[in-house]
Amino acid sequence: MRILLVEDNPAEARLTKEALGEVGVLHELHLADDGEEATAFLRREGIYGDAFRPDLIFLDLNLPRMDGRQFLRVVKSDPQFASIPVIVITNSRASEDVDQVYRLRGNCYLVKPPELDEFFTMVRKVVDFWWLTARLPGDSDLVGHHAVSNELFPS
Amino acid sequence: MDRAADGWPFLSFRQPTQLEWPFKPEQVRRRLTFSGRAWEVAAILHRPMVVTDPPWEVVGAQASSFLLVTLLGVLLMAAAGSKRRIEEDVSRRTAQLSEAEERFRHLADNVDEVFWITSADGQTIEYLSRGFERIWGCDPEVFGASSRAWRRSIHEEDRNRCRKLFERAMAGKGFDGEYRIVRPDGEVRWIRDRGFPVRDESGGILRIAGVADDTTEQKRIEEGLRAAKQAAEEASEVLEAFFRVSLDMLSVAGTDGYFKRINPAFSATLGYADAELLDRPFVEFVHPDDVEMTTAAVAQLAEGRPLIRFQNRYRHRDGRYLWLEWSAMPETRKKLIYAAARNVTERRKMEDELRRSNAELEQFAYVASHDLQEPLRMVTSFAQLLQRRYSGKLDENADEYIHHIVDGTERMRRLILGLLELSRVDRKGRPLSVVDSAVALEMALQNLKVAIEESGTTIRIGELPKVMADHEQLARVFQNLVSNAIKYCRGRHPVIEIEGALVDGRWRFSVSDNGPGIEPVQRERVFQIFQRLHSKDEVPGTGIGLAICRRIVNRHGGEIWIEPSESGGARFVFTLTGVEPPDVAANPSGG
Repeated sequence: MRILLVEDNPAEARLTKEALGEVGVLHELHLADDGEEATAFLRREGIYGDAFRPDLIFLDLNLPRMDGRQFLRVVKSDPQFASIPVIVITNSRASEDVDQVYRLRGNCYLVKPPELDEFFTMVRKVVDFWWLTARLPGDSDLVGHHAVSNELFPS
Repeated sequence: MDRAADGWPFLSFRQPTQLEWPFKPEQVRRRLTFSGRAWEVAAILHRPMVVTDPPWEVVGAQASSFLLVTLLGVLLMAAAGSKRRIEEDVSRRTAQLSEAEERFRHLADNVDEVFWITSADGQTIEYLSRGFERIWGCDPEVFGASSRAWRRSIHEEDRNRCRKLFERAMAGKGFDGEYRIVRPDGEVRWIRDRGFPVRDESGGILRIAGVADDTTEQKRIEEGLRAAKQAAEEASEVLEAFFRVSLDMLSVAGTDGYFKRINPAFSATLGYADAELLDRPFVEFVHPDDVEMTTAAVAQLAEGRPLIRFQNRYRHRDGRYLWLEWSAMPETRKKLIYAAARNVTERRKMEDELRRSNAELEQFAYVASHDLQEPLRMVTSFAQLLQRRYSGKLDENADEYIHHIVDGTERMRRLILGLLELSRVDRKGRPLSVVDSAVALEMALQNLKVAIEESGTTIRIGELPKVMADHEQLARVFQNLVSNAIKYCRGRHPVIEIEGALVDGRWRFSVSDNGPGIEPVQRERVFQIFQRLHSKDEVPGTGIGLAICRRIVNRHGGEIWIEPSESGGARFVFTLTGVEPPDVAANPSGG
């Protein structure tokens, strides 16, 4: 599972990393500090010449330079990347943000819960659904992620 | 009166009586009784006449016809014999005299006025025409000859004046005056009386005669007119005074685009002399950007539609523009506009200020909800992560420190959320609608299910009406009050009673508990933000819940306060105004 995490706050990023670690699914994570860097990563520009194509993008909304909404617009308007599910995970509960994200064809809007346990649970649910349950573009016709994960990380 | 066989009145020379007025042509044939013999007199009138209101020349004509009758009679009498001639002559003269008097009486009795004659000293009434009965409302014969009864009939307040009038006449001058009389039935009438002395050849006053007229109706009409005129004058004076003292700008403008009249406040507000404002089309004073809508507003008025709360900018003499708010009424017939305006420049400035400060508040709320919570969440999360991964692996002190960090961040989170909620009461409140308060309470109790079960609280619900409210906010008030009651019943078995009733036209809700109650001096303090009666160890809470209650109740136009309950606990009472009467509230679509 390859994840592009767009988050400017290293503490938040670390927390997400910890949560993903507790889920126990083999994954590769790249952290981009803002929309510009994330765009460059997707497009394999400059230092990102050998960047991976992510299966999922975890996106915060309030970012310096290019913010999450702009980045979402870039991703969804580029045919090359439009099919990658973008999961917005943010602190904002504002309904205008929720509306805008879905209008920009964000795939999912999640509010970070205040409690650590709840946050960990949420991240687990996201992985359960988007990686283990839903089929994603580029999946093999025969093999699902579930089988792969069980094979690599027997519980 | 004697009557002859044919039913016509006849003359008796010994006893002159009245003839009826007007004389009818048929009366040319009549019988006369003269010295015990009956005479039939035939006469031809020069002009047959039916007159109800004889002018003087007609009376003259009638008189001549009478003379003719009399003459014929005399001729017949002469034929009867000459031995009685002298006697007849005397009789004839007497008859003529009587007839003259008759004529006067006929005239006097058939007009509306009262002809009157008194003795020279005014003490004896010698004659009163029939009009007297109509006006004074009593029989002149009952009245008697003495003028005392007449004097008594005069309104008390007017007696002096009346006496003076008569004194004038007695002194030889005419008078023309007015006084009131009181009729036997109590009715008051106005009399206009004109009198004059009647003199003999030597100039001595023989008697006083006059004409009295009932002017009550005329007076009443005059009085009505006068009162109406006075009222109109007063109204106009009042309007004029208000026009001058008004602090608002008042004007009369023509649909032709010119002011016709402006009050002092108008010119003072804009800094011009009256003439400057009256001489030019008013649109010249309007801000160029507002000309179009001003022209449209004037067109609307010209069509007869009033203008309410219209705002545009007018140029002050010093060049600045003032915002004016107009209210105007058209008078289409006269092509006029009555327009009042107020300088709202300051108000608009304040409104802008308020809008800006509201926007800042909104910004603050966003900061509180996002930017403030984010770092806090980090502290909380990592403290909890530390607790989760290293609890028991460090020493006891480290465990306690971590516990304090987690505890402190938790409290801070609730404070931030409370503040956020408080700032949202007015900002994010929904419009009031018909709400069943029982349903709102149910929602609140559902949210408190765990707390109620854990504390073993007994909830008693009384009557709860339908009211006009924001459903979620009403539920919030119930939730905060019930949760508050449970918290402060420390150690007891809480019994909480909730009810609502209509008191003095307002819905009044109460939440009563059996807790320790609240000291009178503390009853106001608890509604203030962050004011807590107990340390956080005794009773958990942020000190915001009751402040939120007060803000919500205030938003509903109500009040909230604390009373002691019967069981010695506290009773939180709140009212909701702007609520509809129960029957309407129960059926919002009903008129």
